[in-house]
Amino acid sequence: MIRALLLAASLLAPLPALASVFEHPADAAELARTLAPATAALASAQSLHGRYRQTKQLAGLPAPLVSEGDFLFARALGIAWRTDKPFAAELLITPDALIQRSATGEQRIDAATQPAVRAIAQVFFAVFALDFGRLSATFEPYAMGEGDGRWVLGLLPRERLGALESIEIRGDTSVTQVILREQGGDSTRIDLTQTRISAALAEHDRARFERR
Amino acid sequence: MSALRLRFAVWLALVAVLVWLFVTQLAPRLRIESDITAMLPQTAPDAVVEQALARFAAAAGRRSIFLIEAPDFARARAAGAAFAAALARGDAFEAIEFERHVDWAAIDAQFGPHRGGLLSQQDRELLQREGGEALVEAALRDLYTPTGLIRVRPFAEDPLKLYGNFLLGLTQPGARLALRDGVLTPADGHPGAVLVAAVLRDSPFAIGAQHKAADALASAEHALRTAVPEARVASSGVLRHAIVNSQRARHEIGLFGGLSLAGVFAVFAYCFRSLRPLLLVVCALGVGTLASISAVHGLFGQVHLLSLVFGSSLIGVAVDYAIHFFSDRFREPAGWSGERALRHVGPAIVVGMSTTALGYLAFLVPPFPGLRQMAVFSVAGILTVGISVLLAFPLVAGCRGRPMPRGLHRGFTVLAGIRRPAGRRLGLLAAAAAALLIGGLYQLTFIDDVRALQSTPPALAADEAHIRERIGGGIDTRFFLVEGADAEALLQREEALRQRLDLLVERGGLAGYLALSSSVPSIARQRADRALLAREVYGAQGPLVRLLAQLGFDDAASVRLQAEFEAGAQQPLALQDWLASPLSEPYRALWIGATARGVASVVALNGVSDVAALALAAADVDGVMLIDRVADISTVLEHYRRMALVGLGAVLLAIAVPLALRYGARTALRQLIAPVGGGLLTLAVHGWLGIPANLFTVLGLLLVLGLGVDYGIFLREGAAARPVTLLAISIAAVTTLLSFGMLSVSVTPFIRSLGLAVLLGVASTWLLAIAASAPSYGDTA
Repeated sequence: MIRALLLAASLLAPLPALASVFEHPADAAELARTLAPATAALASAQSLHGRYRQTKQLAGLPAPLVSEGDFLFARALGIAWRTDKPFAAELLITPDALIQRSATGEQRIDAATQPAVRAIAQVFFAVFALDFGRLSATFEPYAMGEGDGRWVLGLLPRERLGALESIEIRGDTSVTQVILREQGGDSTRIDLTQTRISAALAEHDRARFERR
Repeated sequence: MSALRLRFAVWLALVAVLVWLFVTQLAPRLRIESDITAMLPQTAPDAVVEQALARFAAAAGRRSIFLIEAPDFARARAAGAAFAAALARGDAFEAIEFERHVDWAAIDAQFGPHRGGLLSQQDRELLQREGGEALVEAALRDLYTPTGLIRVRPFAEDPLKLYGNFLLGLTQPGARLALRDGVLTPADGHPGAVLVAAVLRDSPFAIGAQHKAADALASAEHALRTAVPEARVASSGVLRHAIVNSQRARHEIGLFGGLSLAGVFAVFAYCFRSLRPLLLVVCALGVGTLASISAVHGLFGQVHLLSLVFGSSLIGVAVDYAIHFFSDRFREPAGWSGERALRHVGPAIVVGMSTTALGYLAFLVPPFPGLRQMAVFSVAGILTVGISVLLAFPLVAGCRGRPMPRGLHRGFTVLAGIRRPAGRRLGLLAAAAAALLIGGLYQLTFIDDVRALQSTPPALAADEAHIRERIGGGIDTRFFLVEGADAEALLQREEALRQRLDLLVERGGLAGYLALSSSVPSIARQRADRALLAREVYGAQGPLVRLLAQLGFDDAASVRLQAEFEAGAQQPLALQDWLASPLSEPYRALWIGATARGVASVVALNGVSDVAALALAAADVDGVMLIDRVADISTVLEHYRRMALVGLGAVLLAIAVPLALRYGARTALRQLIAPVGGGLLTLAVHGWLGIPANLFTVLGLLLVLGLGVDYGIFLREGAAARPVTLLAISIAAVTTLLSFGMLSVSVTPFIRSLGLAVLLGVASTWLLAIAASAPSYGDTA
């Protein structure tokens, strides 16, 4: 029932229209100014915890595909992305690779040889560490304030990056939403909620990044 | 006109013709070659192999790669951009590859219509192993987790990512390389490096191209340091080797030629104490050099730098005839004239000239263009100088005999005092010589590996080792030649070969390879892949239909995909279409095209570390041949080294017969002691010193044989005036030692081998010749 309601809610609330952020090219200084509320909050953080909800809208498909789970960002290690619904899965995102974990073992996709995998890892690191400087080699950055300490960043790939058209990142003291748009009208929205910032990394959290 | 004047007039006319030919015919199109490989034997007896070598090896030879490193990727990229821009400014290079823009629209136009038969290696294996369900699971993971956030193609078009994965494989730049922000970088996890590739407009061995390229490289390195001071560049490719080799060769021509000439000057000035012999010998050597260059250029269409290096030492040999001529002045200081000298030493000069020329002619036997050039160069030079001495000298040598300088007189008194050992002394000497010979020959080794015969400066070797470590190195000199009756048969064979190469790459025996069939599968494979997809993925109840239904798509979506899949069945992707499109540009050198036996292609390799496994990979695939020119050349060198050793014996016999006819068996045997003993001693000394011998050592010994026989002949013919003859051959030996001694320090190993053999050989032969021809104890000199 709750799930049905959520689904209905997400259907009713349209995806934010392609905001005018792409009319505001940003240099490093502009990025730093825009992100100031978030960088201050994140300065001493060693880890972030939170929940996510991914809503994927595919062309030709009336209902979006929704998945949910939690995430852990450990500054020096990477991101552990755990999916609860519609099935259990875990993905580790490190600067070098995406590592898929399942009951049967680990499957590693190397970032070094695959530009798309590297771009995904870069975007996730940028989202959680708010380090957008490193993205500027792959993406043209745009930035805009939306009032009340809320901001929006836009990223356009410099070279064609698969079917990806644009990325929008919204946040206040931390990132709250990421939207990826693709050719053909597909889009993926990731909402981040209940984000908790910690100044330390718990031992059992660290253990999640160890190889199995 | 007296006989002397007639001789001189004939000589003058010949020289005039020579000079006229040189100035009008040769000088305008003089071509100096510096490609070491042009000197090496052509090892391709097969026309197709030759075609592949000419096409593929030539293209590979024009390519250089540069690895530019800096503390981080951004700085490496900036440095690479500055470097590439500076290289592109001159006209030395026809193409600079730095930023790579994948033309997706073109790729789509080329491959899109045929996508139903195109599978990546991994997807093919997964489908064969686990069936279509495995792909459905992966598709669901991509939809619900971040792995599928950036797709190659939108979901509706390519739900299972089959086409996307094929395109990824197509645009993947190599096993150990990655495309990052539009430039190539090593995929080893250390980000601060980019690659620049440059393709020369001309052959790297053309001297003009080398100059231009060297200038462009210098300014590019300067631009790199200006842009990013902490950046450094390492390079790999034929170009820098070619530049270094020709610089060294030019340096050595100047040095050896200069020192040889200075030595000759010193010897002439000291021994003959007048200007006339000096001027005459310079004149003769000048004409000789002109004749050598003309003869080589006329016969070979170009002169190789190494022939000139070798030729620069010829001065020391050719000058012998002038020495014999002028030494004759000491014989009768009072009544000497050119005419009398001619009578005295003329026959010896003719015999000596012929045997030496014969020695050099042995160089013509191996199919070794370099040696043939050297032989022609030497024979032309020696004959010209010898003939000049015989024709021109008698008239213009003046008619004043000279007493011998006092120091020289003392020297030859010592030499003349040498007595042939006999009795116990002879026994002792023979025993010592036997021990020396047996010990040395026992330790003697032969190394015929051509790599040991070429030298690489340490800085270049370090650069190449570094590049090999990071990206597996540039394109290897080894490659596979694949042949087939038509393109389809060829591609099928490539696929069979690649299956084995993939295993080798997995095991680390090979860093990677380039093959046409990686981009264009054979039609058989496209059909098989299509059948696999029809069985495992498509169909009314297939996994694809179920996936789409599960996600909530209506039937139209799967009907459309099924129709697209079936539409392409009649038109598989054809190699010719792909070769005609701009996409194949980087791979075209791999396509050899039509041959006498059908069509042929090359599978290029890089980072070969397991040669044996490589040879094995080709063993059971029909129409596939591993071409390893370096190993082939080494085999040829070994073969001819063995042949040359046998040849040495044959030449010895050939010389023994006329000697025996003229002097009688006993004397002839005695005359052969020097050349045979000298040769054996030389090999023994190589053994004791631990220096491996090779074909060039044996060829050096052939020269020694010629010279040694000369010494014997001069000593025998000039027995009546032994002290003067002794002196003449000693001066001749000194000039020869001087010039070949210099060759023995050449940086080019095969010239060094030749030089060392002649140096040791002439020294020992000279001593033995004097000892063997000396009167025995009790005789009077």
